[in-house]
Amino acid sequence: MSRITQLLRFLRHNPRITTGFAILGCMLLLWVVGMATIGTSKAVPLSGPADLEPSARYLLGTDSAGRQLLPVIIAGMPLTLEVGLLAGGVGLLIGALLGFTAGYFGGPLDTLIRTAADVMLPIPALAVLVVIASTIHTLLSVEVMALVVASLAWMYPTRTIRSQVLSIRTRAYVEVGRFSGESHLDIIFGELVPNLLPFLAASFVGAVGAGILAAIGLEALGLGPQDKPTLGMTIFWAIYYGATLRGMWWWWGPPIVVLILLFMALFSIAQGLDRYTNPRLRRAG
Amino acid sequence: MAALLEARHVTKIFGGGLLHKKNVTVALTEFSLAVHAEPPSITAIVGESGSGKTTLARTLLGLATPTHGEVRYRGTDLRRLSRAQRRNFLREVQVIFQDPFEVYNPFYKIDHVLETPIKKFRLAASRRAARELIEGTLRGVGLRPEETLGRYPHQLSGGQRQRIMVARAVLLRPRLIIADEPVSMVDASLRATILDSLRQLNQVFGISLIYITHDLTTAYQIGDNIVVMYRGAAVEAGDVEHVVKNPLHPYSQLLVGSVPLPDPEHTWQRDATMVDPADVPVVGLNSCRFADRCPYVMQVCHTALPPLFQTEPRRVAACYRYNDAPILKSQDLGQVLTAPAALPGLEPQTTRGR
Amino acid sequence: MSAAYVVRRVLLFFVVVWAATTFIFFLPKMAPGRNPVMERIGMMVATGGVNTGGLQQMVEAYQKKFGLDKPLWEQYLTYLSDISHLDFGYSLMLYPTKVVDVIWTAMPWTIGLLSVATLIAFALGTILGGLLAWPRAPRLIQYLLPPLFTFSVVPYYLLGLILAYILAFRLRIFPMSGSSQYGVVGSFSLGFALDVLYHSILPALSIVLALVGFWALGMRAMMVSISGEDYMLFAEAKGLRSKRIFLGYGMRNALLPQTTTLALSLGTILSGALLVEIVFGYAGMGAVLFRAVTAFDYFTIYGVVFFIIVGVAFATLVLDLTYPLLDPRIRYQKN
Repeated sequence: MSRITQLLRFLRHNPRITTGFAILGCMLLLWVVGMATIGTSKAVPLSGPADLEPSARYLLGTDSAGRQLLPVIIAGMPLTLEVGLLAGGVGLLIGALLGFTAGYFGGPLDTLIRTAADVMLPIPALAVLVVIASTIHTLLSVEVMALVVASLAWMYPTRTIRSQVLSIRTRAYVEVGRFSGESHLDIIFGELVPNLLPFLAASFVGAVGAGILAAIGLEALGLGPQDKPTLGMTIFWAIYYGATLRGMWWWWGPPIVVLILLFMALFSIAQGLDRYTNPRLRRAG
Repeated sequence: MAALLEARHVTKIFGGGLLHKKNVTVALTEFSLAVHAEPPSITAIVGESGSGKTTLARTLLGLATPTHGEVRYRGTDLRRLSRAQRRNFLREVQVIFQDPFEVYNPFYKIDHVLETPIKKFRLAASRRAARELIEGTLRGVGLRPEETLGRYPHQLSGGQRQRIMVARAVLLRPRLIIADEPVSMVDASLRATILDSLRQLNQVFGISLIYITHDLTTAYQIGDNIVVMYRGAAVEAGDVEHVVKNPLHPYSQLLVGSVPLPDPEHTWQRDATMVDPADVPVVGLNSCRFADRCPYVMQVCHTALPPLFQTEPRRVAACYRYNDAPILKSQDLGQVLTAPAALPGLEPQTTRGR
Repeated sequence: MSAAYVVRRVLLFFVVVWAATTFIFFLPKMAPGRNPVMERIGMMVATGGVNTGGLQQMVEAYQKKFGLDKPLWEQYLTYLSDISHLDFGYSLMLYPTKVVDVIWTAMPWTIGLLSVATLIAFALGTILGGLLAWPRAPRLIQYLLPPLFTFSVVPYYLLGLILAYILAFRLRIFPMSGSSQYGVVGSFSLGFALDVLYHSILPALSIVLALVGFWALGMRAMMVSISGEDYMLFAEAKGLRSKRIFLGYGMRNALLPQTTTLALSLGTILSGALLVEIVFGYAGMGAVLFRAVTAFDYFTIYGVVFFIIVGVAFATLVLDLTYPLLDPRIRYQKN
């Protein structure tokens, strides 16, 4: 059976993953079309008269600073996605590093990592992020914000990856590997990681979603990049300029729609991957 | 000269520690055994479940650490091997596990377990040489490479998988292979074939074998020597023919007597006293482990752990019934186990240069 | 529940509080190069936003608190003792009001909104989740699944924005913002109480709608895995009534993991609720935080953050100490 047919079969049996990717695919398509036709040059202030309702000329209207809002959305989508991928990716990387170390090597190192994660988990991330972000607010580019979010995103992946590692590290094939001359690193990357790939993939998707969520939370307070029209900042400016009280739905509406679609897609994929890794959930339908 | 692998007064206790003082399990009690590289021999270690045989295997391999005592490889404690020493250890001591499924990483084809040692120990100069080595070794254990290579573990039978594991162990041409119940999870029809391959390894390549099992019949089939274990200690050891034909220790007698004979004239021993192991209280460390089930129990049996009485040059039994025989120090247990006398007409095994 | 467990939990609480305060103390000092608070004060002088008399006092208070002339450890100790008296200094934007007073006025609103919304969402979500997993429940319930799922994925405050637009702006059923009629002073009258209620419905609704989906889905997954347990089969074989099995055996056992999830998500729920307050101009800590951040009123920011962290840690502590009482399985475990 060729790889393509294998992939199609997999997708057919996992409607959630398929739906998620379908949504993402459509958004990508729209973005490509948008970039090709309209571009993002008008996403900056003074690109048009302020506070205009959507019309034939300005498809999504303009905001109080004169930005045209359709280009803003087109520019904002990849920015927000970038924050998510960076924050989720770095958070997962740190989490995997710590989780594998703790789970595989055990001992005092494990106790240290586990306690650190357990102590920090219940702390409301937004609170700490607000303190950090407000202190360095002038340095807040998209990348810096993503890294700030990542600094508090590692605890949950650390715990879950650790428990996964604990459950497979005593398997006989690990001992056989040791007797075939594999070093600890060989075991971790060669024997354990391949078996945990679906789990790591699900964790990644979850981390990206959580990253975007945290970033939006920060941006809702205005603690985001001041010059880039990320989706979260766009909503912030809308609130700041009272667009909610003025009923300017075209300003804060589209970013919300894009965000909802994004979350639904990510959540769908994460659930689908979860179901794939944990067959017991399949019964729930 | 230091033995290849030696267990010295190994005691292994599970549980214990600060919290679980009541639930301790003493898996091994002061167990000593020395295995020498020359001459190559097959030693069977027989015991029921709970006898500590698997714990012994794992301790000898370094997969478990003794609570007291130590295991030494060529004189060095396993816990203190340097990188180079550990590599040598792996080249000389290999393992075959019991479960033919769990030993395979389901993510990889079975080629992975054969290619890994070749890669890690640079056993072949090129990919083609590696391939030839693998195919040759597979044929050596009675498998056809075209039927096994390139497959996933779940696509092969238990017997095939276990034979691949034998092949893997042999690739490095070790001095010693420790096999923990290698055939107990394999279909009965295939057991003889696999045991035969193991026997061949010993005769053709001069590889010593420690064969651990609960099944006395396979032990008899394959072993030159036998060590009978009961609840963490060796109760009898010696030449397999002598021990099985004339068991001295009451437990060995029980074991031998439980093997059903395919002879309608011989009724199965009905007068052996059988006690439900669940009724047996935890035996203290200061009495014979078999005292509560023994039909010949005496007062002295409750006073101290019986030492190894050497009743013949190549036989020991840990039973006070033989206390007029000289006592063998436990760390000398290996002396009692030697290679079979060379059969006339066969060349003695030569050591191969390393 | 052993004494060791209680001690350990309480100790953990203090560790978290200590870590939070230390973090807040050290972070501004580590800001690359400059000190944001001093900068802010300087900015206020420059823009003439504050009378110079007050400024002098503020700078003195600042010097005393962050006593830059004193050694670091002494600053730290002074800081710790101030914090334990709940003295966070003066609010930079609302000078001469002290931070503590600003927070004190706002806190009841937040606690009120949060606890009511969370309780309703938890109760409703748990029941719905249980019903969704129970095969004998009415088929109609299943139709709730897609909308619940959608709502659970959306951040509460975005949901709030949508609701504000639809129900307040367009349909004018509810007020757009504020926690009470503008200009009316609080009093213990029924009229005021009803007014408060009226203004709280939309914010509460945003939180509840989003949370219900989350709890329902979690409960449903829990019930599904429990219904596979042997004791459920046994109960059915015994001939117990379906409702009895559902409530007494199913729900009761699933309740514990649900409560654990509650304890773990308190931080997230609070964060979400604060953002909802911003959308609705609700006079709780969320609005305070928003104004503080926009005005770079660091003292207030730190004060609010401190209360958030301590509040969540305390609530988690209370939950951790009470649910062993709910579930005997936990009580008899050593850990």
